Amino acid sequence: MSETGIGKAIERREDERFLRGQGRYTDDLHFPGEVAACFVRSPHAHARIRGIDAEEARRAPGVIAVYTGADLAADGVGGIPCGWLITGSDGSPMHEPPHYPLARDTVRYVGDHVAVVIAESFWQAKDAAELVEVDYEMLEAVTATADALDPGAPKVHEDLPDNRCYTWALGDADATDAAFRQASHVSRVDIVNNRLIPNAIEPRAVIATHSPGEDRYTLYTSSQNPHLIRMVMCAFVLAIPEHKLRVVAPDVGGGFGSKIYHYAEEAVLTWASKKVGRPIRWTAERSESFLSDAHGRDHVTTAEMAMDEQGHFLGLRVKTTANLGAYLSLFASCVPTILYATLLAGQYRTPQIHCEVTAVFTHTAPVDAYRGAGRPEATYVLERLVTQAAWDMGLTQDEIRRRNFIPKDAFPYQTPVALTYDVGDYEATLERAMELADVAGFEQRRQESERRGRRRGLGYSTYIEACGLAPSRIAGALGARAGLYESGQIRLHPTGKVTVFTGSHSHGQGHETTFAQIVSERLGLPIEDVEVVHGDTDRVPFGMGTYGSRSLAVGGSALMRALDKIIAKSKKIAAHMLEASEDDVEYDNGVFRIAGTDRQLAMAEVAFSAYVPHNYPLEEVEPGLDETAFYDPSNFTYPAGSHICEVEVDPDTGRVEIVSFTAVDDFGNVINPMIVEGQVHGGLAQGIGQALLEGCVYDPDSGQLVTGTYMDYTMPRADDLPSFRVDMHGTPCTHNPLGVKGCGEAGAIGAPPAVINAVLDALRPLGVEHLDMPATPHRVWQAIQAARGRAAA
Amino acid sequence: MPVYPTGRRPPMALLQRKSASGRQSFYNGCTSRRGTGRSPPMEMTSARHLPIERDTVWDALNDPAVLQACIPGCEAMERLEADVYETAVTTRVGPVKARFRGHIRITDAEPPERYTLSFEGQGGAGFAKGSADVELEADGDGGCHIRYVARAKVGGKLAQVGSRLLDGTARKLSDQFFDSFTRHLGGEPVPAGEEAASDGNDAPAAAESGGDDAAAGASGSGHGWKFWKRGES
Repeated sequence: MSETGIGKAIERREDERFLRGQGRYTDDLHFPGEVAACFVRSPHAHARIRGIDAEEARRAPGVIAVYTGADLAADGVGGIPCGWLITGSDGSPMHEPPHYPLARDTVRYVGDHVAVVIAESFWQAKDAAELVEVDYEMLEAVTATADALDPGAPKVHEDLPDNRCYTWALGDADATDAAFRQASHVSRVDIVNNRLIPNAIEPRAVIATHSPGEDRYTLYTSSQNPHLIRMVMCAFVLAIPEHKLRVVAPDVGGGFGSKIYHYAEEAVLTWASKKVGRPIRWTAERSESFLSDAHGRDHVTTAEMAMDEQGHFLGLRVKTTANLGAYLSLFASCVPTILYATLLAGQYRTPQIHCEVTAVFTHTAPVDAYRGAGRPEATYVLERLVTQAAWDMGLTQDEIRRRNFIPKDAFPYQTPVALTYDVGDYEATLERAMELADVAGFEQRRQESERRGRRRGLGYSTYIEACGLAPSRIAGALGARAGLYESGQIRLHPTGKVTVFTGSHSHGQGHETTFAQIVSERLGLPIEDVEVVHGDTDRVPFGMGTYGSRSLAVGGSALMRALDKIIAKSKKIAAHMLEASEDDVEYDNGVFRIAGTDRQLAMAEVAFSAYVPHNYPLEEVEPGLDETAFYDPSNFTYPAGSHICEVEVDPDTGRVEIVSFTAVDDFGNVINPMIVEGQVHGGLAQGIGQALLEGCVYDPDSGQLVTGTYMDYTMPRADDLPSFRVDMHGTPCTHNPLGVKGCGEAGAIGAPPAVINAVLDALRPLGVEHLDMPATPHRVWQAIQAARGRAAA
Repeated sequence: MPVYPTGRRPPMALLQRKSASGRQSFYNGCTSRRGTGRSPPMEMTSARHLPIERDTVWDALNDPAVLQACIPGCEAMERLEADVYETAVTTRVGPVKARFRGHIRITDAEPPERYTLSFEGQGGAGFAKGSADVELEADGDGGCHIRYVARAKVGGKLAQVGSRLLDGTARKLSDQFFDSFTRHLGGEPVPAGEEAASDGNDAPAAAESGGDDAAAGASGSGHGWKFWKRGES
């Protein structure tokens, strides 16, 4: 194994350019003759547009054009589609109201797109946008998830009687009810999964150009999956032939899911670039990101666990209302269903599970996948409930989990909610986490805290996730409107250098390092000779992008397949050059050798011969050394782990301090442990942010976004977080060639219930039974006061 | 940064600040009806003493030229009908510069004692609408008291970026208006009171004095928008 190969914690190759400010993000690109766009956005949560007067704006200095929904309609621009069809439990398809890039007659959330102003400079466009007079008729709005179905609630879409997108269910309802009838104990939680705003450090940015000579468009956009954006724009929105649109996503500064989707700005600028005949650029201001990036989470759930006398789980019943916002974003419909209910088995042998999800429209920004996407919501429900069950049964948090874990020797394990786990070792990760968290010394630390007037608590979360999206056949059967394979291409150049093309796309995950480690090790070439190309539909054959912790498990596997093809072909060439039978040639670490001899050829020599085929088996193999593979996984991967959070709460102020956080994860094989650890850290920070700090609030009366700046939306900072204790216990994935599972979302999935369980553990002696996220000092203090009030009464 | 003496910290002060970092904490949630949402529709009560006769004040309050001269940032005030004015105002709320065009309508007028003024305006930074009940009372000494209760709703960027600053801005604009109004009518403005000078920055001071109830809110005179009163506990 080389110093840079698989399993080595080498430094990220892309960081040098990022740290030196030499990264090239969309906003860094400039084109001759470019002009700027500014969007006019709705200040109302719900209003009818009676008219738009843009004459004054059109006469403003520098203004080139002002377009509205009517202009798009006149050119036949379509609506933004949803990529996943959910069929309701009554057999009816979900409701898919039209989602036009610029509103036609009604605005449905604060920030909804009304018009676009294009001017010579951004500031001219922005000034002119203020001159666009929109005559709004204000209407009543509904923003709260739990209120959307009320009979009197304002309608988000007029043709929908009750704001319901679908009601969908998974599992055997009757068998689950029967399990509850047999139960000797039932535990229950009512919880809210707070709505989050993604806040990628690089805001969304778009530049669209049109070349009239070839009638060809190029769209530069800060996106996690340029090919998918191209497919959606060509097939649904703009009807551009797919070979006439190139989509480039250069360096991308974070996404967390929010840059998976096709957004209105991309469609409008691409369409307008031809109209005005000049490149058009737009970069979101931070306040626009708050309003218009797809938000995450936002569930209201009731969950019950039926148990026997020993605390063995018999049945789980979950009822969830999920807020989808005003319109269906690209994957909105599958997040609270396919990616949620299927995870409710967790790491446990619960024999019967039934989950019903009602998805609702509200007058809020669209909600879609956000780091974890459905799995954090499922984990939060299950892990809160399991800990509640432990307390109800008088068991410790670890004991109830041990009693219900799927044992190590029970794999492959079929859950009652559709998934088949291939491998895992849950008890071992829990034990390692408890050791690392020094659970044995907790009681002493708790007493010490108490002497200082503080409350100390310990919270567990043993999560599972389904990553490596996804087996296309299964996804298709569940309503996906796209395949979810990945492509990989390996091009050896005559001089033995390599260009790797991957359809997955890094928005911070370090693919240029991880993928190069794999390729350089397999080909026995120095890592410096390997370059990774991604994010350009003209350079990369195809791709489905990066989300759902799929890049390595699916994209990396596609590269492994392409490498197999390269090696198979090279072997034929090497055998010819070595004048040996192919069967006698062995390949190891970049060297072809006639077995049992010292006659050998290096990969670079073979590559040269492939391009200069003077002595070459031309009748057997073609010249060149460039192979492409597509990989479609046969199953999801199932990363899992045990997270233990220890908190100290000041009961006088309600402030929660995370004293320590331990995460022991099973990601299967690990290519670069340092990158994996970094991913875990980032995920934990986001999970802790959700648990303690972050929360999106719309005013329930006016529908205004109240948490629209960093003054009101609290992002986690370094001083909010402890130094994490991270370890791994890997059981290699059984069905992909690298044995990897995916690690990008784990922290955000496992952390929230661990934190809240810890806070509740600390406050239970004071009578606090329930807390919703984010557990801010205000909320915690109020919960303590309320409990004291109850105790006094 | 406030230094708390000893004992129990006033919880209201902690509502205002997250931690030593001074960041604001999350509003008590409203992802569901179980939460009690913070409502942007605001209410401001205010009272001022003007050293000017009530009838003169009444007439001036109904004179578009006076209003245009005295409303900070007012660019136009035109009478459309007897009790309806068209107006354009530019103002700044923190980082947001907002130009509003809209209408003011006067209803329920009982000269020279009271009227209700409704306003509705919109611009690039969003919209504002609301009303104010205004009351004039002669003080028997050649001057008068003016009292009003104003309610406002704002939306768009103004609500998103500026909501936290609206209280202070509204108070400042109100003070500026009455100061120039008094000067315009030849009087000398009477300071709006101790409280007006002591903006929202008083939270730590109140906290230091240990005033648990310092946030008691509206008081009898001066500006009753929620604020902290120095030294009272």
